[in-house]
Amino acid sequence: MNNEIASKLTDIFRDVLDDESIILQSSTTASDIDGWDSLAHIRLVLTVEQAYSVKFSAKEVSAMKNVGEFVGLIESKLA
Amino acid sequence: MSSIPKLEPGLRLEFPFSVTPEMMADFGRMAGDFHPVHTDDDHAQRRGFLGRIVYGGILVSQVSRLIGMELPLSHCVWTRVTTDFVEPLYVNEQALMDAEIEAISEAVQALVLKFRILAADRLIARGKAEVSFAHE
Repeated sequence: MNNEIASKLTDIFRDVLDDESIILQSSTTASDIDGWDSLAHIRLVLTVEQAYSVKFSAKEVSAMKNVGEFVGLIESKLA
Repeated sequence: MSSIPKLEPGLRLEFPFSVTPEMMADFGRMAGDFHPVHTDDDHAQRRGFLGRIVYGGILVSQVSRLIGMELPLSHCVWTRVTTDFVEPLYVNEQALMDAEIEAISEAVQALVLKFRILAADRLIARGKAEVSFAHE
């Protein structure tokens, strides 16, 4: 997992979910984090798109299974 | 025939409004808030205002109007609004809602609106709203 992206993504998760204790791992999924519900997911995607000036497709977002894939998707957009 | 504006970051939306004594009375009854700063000019003036001040809830209601009536979307709901109340708005004072789409994500069909409420040269309120939408 790209450490630089993972670190920034952690900051975004902590800010959006208002939880400074969040620690992301590649295998982390929504069921592992309190508050990562469908509304929070929308807010996370919006915030990440703004933070990195990238755009995702609905297909890309719905295919993400964990944080590692989220980081990989961001990395692919920045390549 | 006017065309529907394209939904994209930077799209500006604005409309004028003012809050009448009838709107104040209706909101007071609806909210159950009869604090004298909203209902009594003398009380408000003793607290340093020019007169009774408009309920913050009425200002937020104009964000509802912004989303429901001004956004070029048929199917949308707001999912968050944050508002800073910077200065008071007075009853019957002319105000302007000035908003702009800050960000939009087609992937999750959501957008962020930032807005300001202005009266003459005063900033009355500012904030952001998040909106989920669906295309036809």
